[in-house]
Amino acid sequence: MGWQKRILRVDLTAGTCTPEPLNMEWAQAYLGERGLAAKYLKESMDPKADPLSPENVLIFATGPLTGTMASTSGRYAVVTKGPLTGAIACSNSGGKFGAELKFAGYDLLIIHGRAERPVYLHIVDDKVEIVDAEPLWGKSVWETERWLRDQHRDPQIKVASIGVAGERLVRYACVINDLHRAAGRSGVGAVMGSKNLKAVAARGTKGVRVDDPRRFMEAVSQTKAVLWDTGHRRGLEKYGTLPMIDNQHEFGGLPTRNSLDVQFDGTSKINARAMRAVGEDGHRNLVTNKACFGCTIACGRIAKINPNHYTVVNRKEYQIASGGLEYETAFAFGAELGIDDIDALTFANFIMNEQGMDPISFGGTLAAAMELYEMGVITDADTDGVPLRFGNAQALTIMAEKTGKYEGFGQVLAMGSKLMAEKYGHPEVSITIKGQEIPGYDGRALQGMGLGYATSPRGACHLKHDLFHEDMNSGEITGKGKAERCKVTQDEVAAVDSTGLCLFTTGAWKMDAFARQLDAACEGGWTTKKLEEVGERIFNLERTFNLAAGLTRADDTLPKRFLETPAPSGTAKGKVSELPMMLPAYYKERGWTEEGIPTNETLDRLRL
Amino acid sequence: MKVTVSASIILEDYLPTTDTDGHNENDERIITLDVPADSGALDVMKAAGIPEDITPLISLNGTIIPLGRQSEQVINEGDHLHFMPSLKGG
Ligand code: SF4
Repeated sequence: MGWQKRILRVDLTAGTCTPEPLNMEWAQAYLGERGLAAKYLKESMDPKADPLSPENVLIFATGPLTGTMASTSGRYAVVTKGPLTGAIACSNSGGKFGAELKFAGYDLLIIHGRAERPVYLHIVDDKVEIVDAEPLWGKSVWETERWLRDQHRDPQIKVASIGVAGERLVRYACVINDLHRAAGRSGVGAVMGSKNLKAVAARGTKGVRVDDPRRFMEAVSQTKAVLWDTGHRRGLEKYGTLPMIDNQHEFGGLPTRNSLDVQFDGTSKINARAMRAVGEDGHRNLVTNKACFGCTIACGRIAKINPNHYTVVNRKEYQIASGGLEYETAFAFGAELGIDDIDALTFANFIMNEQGMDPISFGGTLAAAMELYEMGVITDADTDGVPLRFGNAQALTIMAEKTGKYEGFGQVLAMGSKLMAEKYGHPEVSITIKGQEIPGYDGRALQGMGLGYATSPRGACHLKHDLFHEDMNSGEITGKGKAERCKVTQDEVAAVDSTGLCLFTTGAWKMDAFARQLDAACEGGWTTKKLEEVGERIFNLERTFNLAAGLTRADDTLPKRFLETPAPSGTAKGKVSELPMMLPAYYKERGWTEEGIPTNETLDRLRL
Repeated sequence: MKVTVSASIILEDYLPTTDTDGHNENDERIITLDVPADSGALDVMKAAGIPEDITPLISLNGTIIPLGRQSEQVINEGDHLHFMPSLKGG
């Protein structure tokens, strides 16, 4: 069990909703969530299809442990072909929506085609309807969630939806659920918009069965106890992910001013301490922390903007407690733009959630625009009169709103930094990999991270491998030895991403903790070895999707800035990325050819 | 010998309160510890109350000490050690 053993296929062109049995052979080979969705995606579409065409397929996928008593069991993933990257996209989210979809009786929701007019999907257990969403089109995520609960007179309904950004196909639009949890990266929200699908509103009453309830509860209790008693968990609960900003600043791995620098002298104004500090007027940014479904870590931040701040004076709708800064948002709006105004950062974050945009990609794109502005390539005439200078907080907050509503220069920022930089004839200012903006780690200081960025199936991503320890604690800034660890951790992460649990548990759990819980919940004899095999199979499956989509070895690269311009300060001062040395070693570890193609032997070994 | 110690936010909770408490420009507490003359970086960490299982990043006078060399790192009178938690994700 664990799985509901049922999926729901929706064809928006034909207007049909059809449940079908889950392919259990695939479930044993690809587990769930990221892996199983990748398999269904590959079998359901031509990888060469335009990501924004009706031929693309959009999958909401839960894992076998989603909705169970296991800690952090609220996870689900949105898997599709990403419009930002042209590669397979897997965006993982928490909150409560994933568990609710599972409770309604589905492991996967697979969406084909394009509706003629805007629609939303209303799922209550076996009753599934495609409903007219005309009244919702043009509304924000927040308005949409409220409207759907009111309309269906059900405060318990869980919603995943897009804002105006998704409707207008902003290339890094995300799917937001539960007001401020995001399937954030690669533009999965734009795919939803291209299908004229405004929202999925789910309500389920079925629960989740496990194979051996007693053994499962024992495994859950043991693993929860291990998790509970760690500094890792306590730190995340109390401070969220924001302490990373001090680490990266100190280390010299903090992308700053569009990665022209690697250290930001304004971190003390936007870090975890600043978030908790009570100002002279008694205001404190942090209101409380928040947990996703079933989570015993509770890393989420709920924050409030100072009511006297220019962004919210006379704007009561933003004088609320809502999703606050995490490390990636603080880096992308703070260091990367040279801005140290915590309220401006929090406001921009609210807008990202309200209109459904990925803060990392938006911040990266605005950073590139700021560099173009400082170079004199674009001027006030291009930017609606807003001086896009590094450090200008108003530029951030104005452009966040303009992009969210697809207005003025926001329409240019909506392209993402790669297309925007090419438009202005300066591709070098786009700090992207496979078209996706980098997260908050510099690929010169964190060499293994750079290799992970270059080889991640969805472009620049810090959550598809795990080399933090090797990069920061080994004491040497080197690419040596990173290839093997990159491969091993990519496979482990692929497996964890397919369970239905949160990657943040890996600060306390090794693979055996996942295997133990899975084995008690699901048939099939889940051991650490099997999980590792499944992880490797998933990673290679994603690779074959990308190769079939037309990506090549040339896409496994880093921005010129990481490869040619030495880090200006910090631990890696004077260093560039050693990717040219790491990549061939990595391909070898993977059993891929020199061109990065899995050999027949590798494919056979993995039964692909 | 006397050394000064500060720690990033998560680890700061472990530092003892001393009557020499001060603050640096980032508003982090700086404490002065009196440690035996032959102390290394890990001895100072222990004296500062930071649990050993945390394996933090340690910077000595602004330079990160490689993890493999933390145990042999010699400390001198007046040195400043800053402890940062080993983090991942984000
Ligand atoms: S650790 Fe954080 S992101 Fe992960 S499930 Fe818990 S609250 Fe959500």
